[in-house]
Amino acid sequence: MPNIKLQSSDGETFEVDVEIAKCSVTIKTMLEDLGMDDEEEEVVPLPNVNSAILRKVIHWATYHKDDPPPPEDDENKEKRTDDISSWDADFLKVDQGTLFELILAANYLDIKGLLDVTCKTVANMIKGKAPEEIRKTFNIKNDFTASEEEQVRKENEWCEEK
Amino acid sequence: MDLIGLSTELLIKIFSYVDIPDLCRLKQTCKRFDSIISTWGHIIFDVSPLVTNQKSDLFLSKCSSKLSTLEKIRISKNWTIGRYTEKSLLYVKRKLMPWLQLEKTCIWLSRGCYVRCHQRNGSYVKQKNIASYGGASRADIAHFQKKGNTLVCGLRDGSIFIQNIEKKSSITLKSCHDSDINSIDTNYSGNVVVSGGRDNYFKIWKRNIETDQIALTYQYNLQDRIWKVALSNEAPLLGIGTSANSNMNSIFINDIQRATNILQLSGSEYNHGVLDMKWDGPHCMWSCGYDTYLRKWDLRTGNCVQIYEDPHASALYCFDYDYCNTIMTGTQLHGRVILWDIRQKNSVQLFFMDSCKSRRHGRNSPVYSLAFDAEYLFTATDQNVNVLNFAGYDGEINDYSYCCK
Repeated sequence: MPNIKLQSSDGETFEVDVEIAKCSVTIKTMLEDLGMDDEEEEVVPLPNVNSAILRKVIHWATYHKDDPPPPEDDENKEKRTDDISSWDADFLKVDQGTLFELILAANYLDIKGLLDVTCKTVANMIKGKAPEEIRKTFNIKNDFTASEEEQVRKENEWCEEK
Repeated sequence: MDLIGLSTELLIKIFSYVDIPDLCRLKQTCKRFDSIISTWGHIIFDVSPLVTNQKSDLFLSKCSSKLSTLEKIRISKNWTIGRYTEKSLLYVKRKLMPWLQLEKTCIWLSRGCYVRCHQRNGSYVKQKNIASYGGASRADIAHFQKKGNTLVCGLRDGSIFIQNIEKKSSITLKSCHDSDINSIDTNYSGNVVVSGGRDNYFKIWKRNIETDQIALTYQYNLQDRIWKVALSNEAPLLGIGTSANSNMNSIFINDIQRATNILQLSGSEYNHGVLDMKWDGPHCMWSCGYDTYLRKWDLRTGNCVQIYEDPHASALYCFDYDYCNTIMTGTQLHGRVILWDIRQKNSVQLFFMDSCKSRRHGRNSPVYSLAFDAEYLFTATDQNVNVLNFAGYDGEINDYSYCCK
């Protein structure tokens, strides 16, 4: 199978099967628009993705290369977060910095499957936590004044009722 | 790289996977999340909550405020569990049969021989009216309709009173019917007026907007007292609801351009007279009346397609509709209003007007007319206008949902 070369922001080059690279809609469109031929030894620069993250993305895309295309978002469908495959769950056992870099890369490269699963993973880290626990988990600075905090607490009290 | 460093677009994507209580907690963590969830709530999750959905533009146009998604869910819950504060306004000593109409910044109320317009801000209604119409004839106004710049009133002496609100001119037309005009309607441009009366006639009038004069174009005797006339906003059709004493049928649909009857509908066998009626698009209609049922009719098949029964078997005097999933009906006794989710068979909640609980104010008044927006319910009983405010955080809970089964 033909390969193409992807270059990360820090200059490392990865040789990848074209079909795997094309799970990124950004790369697929680029190849189609530029009319790159298989014979040419072109390098695709990806200035927004560093080598550590690009390696993870390629790893993910290689495992998922035979997946059917992910379904379109249905606004009326209830959004589930308990349907992450065990392989993906293991793959995403990474530090928060890497997880958010993967979200940015998936968004930039337009890989819907990877973006969905990384966002679900973050959502699972939010679910069921009290405001202070959420702040602690994600290192969020509380920028409310005491009176504002009381106000916003009162406004949202209703959702804690059974 | 951390969570707070992500773009708004990506945060919306992540937040769309959490549950509503989680969103409320996220709002409390920092100002940015608070503002994203308030601003983009409708994208984070799409909901159609009861009463507060504001899906229809027609309904939204009479709401005093446009609600954020979380506010919709919070306030809808208040409606469902019966958490509200209530005020009785505009008390009159004499018992009357009022009618009311709600707009974004005012309410229109007919009592005795006057229609008055009171300014409102949310649930606050000014005691002093900003305009008062009618009174030239001493006869009571039985029903009125205000559309655009036109106010049309049907009087108990058979006269029609028409007020051009913009031009501040009015006209009273005597002897349009032989006795009480029970119902009246007009279209948005104000050039067609329809009336229905106790004399069994419904009449279609053409109005000259310049001179306000009306000329009879069609009349028909249905052999039954007419309680309701309703013009469709989308098709040249007129719905007529009758007492159905002599006829099998209680609803007649007429094509007003061709002046012909195109459909007749019948509820139950006995006593199915129609007291209130509203169009739902050009093909469907809601009705309620003596037989204690709220019904949806599909005019394409001529069938009743949905039916809801009052849990206490009272006649239903009036109703209002949010053109999505919510209907409230006003009943004959105890100042009782029923909240319906039209997606389910049983009613959701009952509201009893406080002013009808005290002996002094007469406890048995029917709810003669009602109107609601996403946050407030307005009802007109014999001596009061009652305003129920569901937008607050700490109203008393009056939960009668156990009676709805």
